[in-house]
Amino acid sequence: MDAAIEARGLVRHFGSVPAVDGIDVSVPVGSVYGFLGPNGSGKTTTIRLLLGLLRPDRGTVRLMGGSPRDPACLARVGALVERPALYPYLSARENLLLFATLAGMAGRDANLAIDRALGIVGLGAVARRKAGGFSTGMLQRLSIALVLLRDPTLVILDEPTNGLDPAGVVDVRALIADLARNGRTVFLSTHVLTEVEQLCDHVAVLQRGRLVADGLTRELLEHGQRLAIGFDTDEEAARAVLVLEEAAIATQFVGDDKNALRVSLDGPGPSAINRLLAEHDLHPAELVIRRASLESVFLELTDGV
Amino acid sequence: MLSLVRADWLRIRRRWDVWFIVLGIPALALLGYVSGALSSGNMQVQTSGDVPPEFQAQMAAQDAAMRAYAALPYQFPHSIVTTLQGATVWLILAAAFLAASMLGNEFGWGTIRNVVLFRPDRSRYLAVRLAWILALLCVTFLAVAALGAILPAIVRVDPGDPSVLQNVDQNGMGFAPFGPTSPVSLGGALLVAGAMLTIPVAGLALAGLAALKFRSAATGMLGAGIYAAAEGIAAALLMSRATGDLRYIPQMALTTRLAALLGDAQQAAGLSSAGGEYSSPGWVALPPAVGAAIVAAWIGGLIALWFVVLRRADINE
Repeated sequence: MDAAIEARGLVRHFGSVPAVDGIDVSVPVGSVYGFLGPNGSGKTTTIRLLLGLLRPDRGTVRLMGGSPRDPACLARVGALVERPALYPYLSARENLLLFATLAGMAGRDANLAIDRALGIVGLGAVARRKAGGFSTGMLQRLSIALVLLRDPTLVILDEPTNGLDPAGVVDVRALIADLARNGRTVFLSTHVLTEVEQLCDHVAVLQRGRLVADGLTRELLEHGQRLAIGFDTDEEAARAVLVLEEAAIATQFVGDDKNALRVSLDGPGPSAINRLLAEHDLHPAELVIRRASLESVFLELTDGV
Repeated sequence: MLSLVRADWLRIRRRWDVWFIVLGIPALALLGYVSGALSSGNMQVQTSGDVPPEFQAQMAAQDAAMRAYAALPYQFPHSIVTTLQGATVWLILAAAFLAASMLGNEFGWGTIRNVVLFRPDRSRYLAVRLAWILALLCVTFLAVAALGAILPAIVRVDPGDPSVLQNVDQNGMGFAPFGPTSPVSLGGALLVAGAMLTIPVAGLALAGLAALKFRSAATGMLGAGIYAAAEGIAAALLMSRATGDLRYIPQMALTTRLAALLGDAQQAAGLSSAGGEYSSPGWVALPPAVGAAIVAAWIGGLIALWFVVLRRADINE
């Protein structure tokens, strides 16, 4: 099994609206896979389809090599989907005990798993307090504890840092990094682009139910790199545009500045471009590779939505 | 399966509303019984002015008959039916609430999602939940019935001389329609109790289905109530208008059949006379076994729909 999650041709409509429109997802085992997309792009619907909570109109899902409705496969998966969902009249510990019991754990095993999960999320001290009285952040932590209860091989997290204070955000990011270090596969859906940049080795971008990018985070960022070229005069810059466009290299002026260009690096590299310009007696005053941020790549891929 | 049962127990034991129902309804039944039993001896034949001596003996007989009649519901085993009758509305509401809240809240809180992720076999989960709801209802029902069996020994009501009921002018007693004129057998009381149990069970099935379909406890309760009222009105309307074979259509309605089932059981137990309230021109008397089979088909069908709805449900919560 190379892929922890393998989805092919997933389609799901709500009425006539395609929420997920033919996406393929392959999450390598042991990877931290970032799942990005603007609000309403179909991220949560995709997660629900992957977990078997929704039935796809078309397409197939393999989760840990099996069906998402197979108890043996789901036993290896921990998932936090959207908002926390817990029994308000039960304590934190009782909530976890209930689900541990559902999972077939009992006695010492259940208690150990509960203590471990509560310890990881830092709720050990309030384990006997009712979940109904918890703050949003505490509920989120308890939901993460529920995800970790069965010590899953695949962890699916939908906006896990929602509602957490800065310290909580740092803790959850450290937890995700720790899970990855221990060989777990993490599927992380989030709006927080820095989170993906810091944690994810793979990233997919969803836009209007379709994947518009999918690959290694490093490659996606490289794809977004631009070469910034500055000339001493506007006339040199104008000639450079003609030369580069003749060579089918996408070029544009930077804002209103008539002597500064931005050149795509999808084709020839910086040295080849520099050589091309020199052959036409054009000598840039400045030639700098601008590394793309995930934010700029994301905005470009999603049309700034 | 056992882990599902245990997990549900962890939930149920902490729900105060469930225990409020299980303990509260027998308490209400107890209060109703005691107040009824204590006031049953207050009946007497009212007279004004001098009564001619030739009527005094007749009036004394009427008075004894009325007292014996009023005391009958408080004698074992008739007392079982009396307590259950007093708690019927509460039991229906309790059954509907238990089903609607124990199923609908899972959607409201979104916990259904966690349950399905931990136990993807939805049918088993629902079967266990159904068993718990039925068990809670049965415990409440049996507690009320047990009170009915025990209370005559604690709150004693003088039975008078039941034999006088056989020789009295029923129309002269001021009770219409006239009920039993002899003590009910234990078998008869249990038969009526069994028929009475089907009413909250049907309420449970209806409310549970509505809660699963609309994913809300409140809508489940409301949906069941609206359906029962609408069906009852439609059946009554059809019964008054339909002719020929069309008269059988309203006979198939759940509310009609539940009322008929209870009527049949009461008649069999000697608690009511034939005909009675089912004297509508459109009424078609079905054999009691057929009527019971229709009720069983209704309840079975509604509960089967629970499983269909949950198995096909998208979990958006």
